[in-house]
Amino acid sequence: MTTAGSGHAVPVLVAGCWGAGTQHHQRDMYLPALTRSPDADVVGIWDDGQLSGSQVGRAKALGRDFGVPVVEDLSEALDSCRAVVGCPAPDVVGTLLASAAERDLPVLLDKPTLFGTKALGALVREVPSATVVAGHHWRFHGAVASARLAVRSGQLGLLHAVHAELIVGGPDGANPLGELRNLCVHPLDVVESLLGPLHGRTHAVHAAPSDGAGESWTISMHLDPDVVVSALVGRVRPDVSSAVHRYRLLGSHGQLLLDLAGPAMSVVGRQVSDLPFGPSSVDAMLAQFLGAGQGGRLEPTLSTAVGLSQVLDAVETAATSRTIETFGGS
Amino acid sequence: MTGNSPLGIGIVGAGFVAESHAAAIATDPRLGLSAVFDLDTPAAAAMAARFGAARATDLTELLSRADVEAVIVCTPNDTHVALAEQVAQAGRHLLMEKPLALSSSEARRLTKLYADKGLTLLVGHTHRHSAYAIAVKEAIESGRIGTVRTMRLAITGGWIWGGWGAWVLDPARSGGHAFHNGVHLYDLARWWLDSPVQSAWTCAQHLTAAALRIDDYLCSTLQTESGAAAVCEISRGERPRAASVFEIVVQGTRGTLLRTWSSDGIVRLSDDGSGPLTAVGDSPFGRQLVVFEQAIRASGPVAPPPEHAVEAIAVAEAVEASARTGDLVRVDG
Ligand SMILES: NC(=O)c1ccc[n+]([C@@H]2O[C@H](COP(=O)([O-])OP(=O)(O)OC[C@H]3O[C@@H](n4cnc5c(N)ncnc54)[C@H](O)[C@@H]3O)[C@@H](O)[C@H]2O)c1
Repeated sequence: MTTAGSGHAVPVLVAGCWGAGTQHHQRDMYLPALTRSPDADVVGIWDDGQLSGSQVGRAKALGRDFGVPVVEDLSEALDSCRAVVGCPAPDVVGTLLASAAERDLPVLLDKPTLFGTKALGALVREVPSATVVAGHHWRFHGAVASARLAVRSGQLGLLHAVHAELIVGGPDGANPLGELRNLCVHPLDVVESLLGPLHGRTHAVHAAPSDGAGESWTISMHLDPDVVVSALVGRVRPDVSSAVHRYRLLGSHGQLLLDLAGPAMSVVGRQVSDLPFGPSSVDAMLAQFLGAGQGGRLEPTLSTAVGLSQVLDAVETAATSRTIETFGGS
Repeated sequence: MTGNSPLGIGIVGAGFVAESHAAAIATDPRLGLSAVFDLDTPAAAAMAARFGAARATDLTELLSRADVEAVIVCTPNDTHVALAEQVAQAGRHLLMEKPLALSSSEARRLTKLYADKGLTLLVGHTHRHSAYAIAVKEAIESGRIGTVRTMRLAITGGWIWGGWGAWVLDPARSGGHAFHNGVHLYDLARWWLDSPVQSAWTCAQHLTAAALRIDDYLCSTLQTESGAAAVCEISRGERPRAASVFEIVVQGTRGTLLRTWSSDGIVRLSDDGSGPLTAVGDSPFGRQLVVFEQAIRASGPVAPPPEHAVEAIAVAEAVEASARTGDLVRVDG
């Protein structure tokens, strides 16, 4: 954590410690990144205290582990910061966004698609002035950001296909709200960041959890204007740690192969392990979010998340009814 | 055919792929190339001379030779059915290049014809005999990646199909990309997933020229009776033209099998092209011919069985229909 008053560091409030299932992104993603960032000064942790089950007491534990004060009053907490990193529970998100909007504070909101399309639409309507960045961090990965520049500047000509795999393992466990909204949103958000809002048709095959593994989704799309997309997304058993996260971009004048397990070196010792280097996708996302005050752009917006959520709805219908679904007003 | 003498083979169609078969025959003492026939006489003569075989002046002559016990047909796709019938009529075993036919009903009819006559029919789904394809099958069967739920098979490269006059570009002659190249992928997916394909949804593109009458890019999502999915992508329209990408992802409940472009242990980045080079020592054409020869000698079954070749055609029909309509198409079992 940067000490208070160290010049350009932005005072940040960590708001809400909710996660679907065992997910705890404040502990596992945001606080580690915020505390190592020279751009952030974490001034407090707030939660409404309504978390249930194993999530009770998360704010206190975080405060202890990261040496940050826990603030119980939301107004007081918001008055002390210039930006909010939020993992609010579904029933708190509206209040948090409205209170932040009153103070003109930007909110980085973790995985909004988990709230569902209806709730997200309501948020956009009820708090139109909220400045929200959807926490889709993979689009900020250095390789994706670089690919986006290449695509937008036409280095590959015009894209005609994008193919992705996101296959995770490890102890996080299955997401009780479904991997469609938890995992599938990531590759689709990366595609959105390359192409803009998604319009087209989709086919999907869903495999329910079995053999100790979580769900698996095979999503295929034909997007306007004539871009073919496919994504293999799934969760293997929790005792399998290897992750696969790749993209293949095919353009009229060239191709890009991205492996988001990098940048990393392999350490070949008694076991082969990875040695990552450079800023992670979360670091890069926070840098953009916190730099927004200096003219940086704030995206993806809540509207982007709503659009993606509608695409995910179409994917779900395609899988359950075994039909080809149209989305995005195409 | 006598006990240990080489199996006498005749080749019909002395073009691009025939060269691979002839080269494989030349390196296997169990096999001998007896004669070559091609409508293009110089092509037949050149191949016959290169491999020390006779040039037959017509198909009847080739099929009547005592030293032609089995035939490899390497001609354009629309000629396969008529040639297969003539080979069967002459009582010769057949290695037919893929696709077996341009419709599943004709493919079924040929399969029955060969079974009724007690003749061996092997269809050239050559990838099945590649070291990589066998390794994928064995890895799945070993249970190392658990139950397979989804897979990707991507074989993409640049233009190799000649000029506007090339027979491959004529849908009536090649059947289109699904029949011409797609069948390789559909056959592998069906084999690896160990379940017939039930439906196909296809996104098709004309990358190289809008005026193409066949698709040079096809991406099909197949679903098997067991519920697994396979995204099969085949392209001859990529840039840079000489770059090839060949990737396999098989996702199971316990792990994921990945074949990347460096999996052969050798990658070329040169002015002439970029992509994997085949590791020396692997000869899918050679392995395929051994399967053929052993089935003939033992009057036993071949792998893949002709029924799988028929299934691949049925999938190609569904893929092409889906490409035209944009609909999810059921495979005609
Ligand atoms: N298994 C594989 O990996 C693989 C690879 C390439 C091609 N193929 C298949 O092999 C077949 C041939 O393809 P190719 O690329 O070698 O084609 P090609 O055009 O290079 O060669 C075809 C040859 O057949 C001759 N021919 C045409 N009609 C004939 C007839 N009725 N009788 C005798 N000869 C005739 C032509 O003159 C030509 O020499 C096709 O069915 C193709 O799908 C398979």
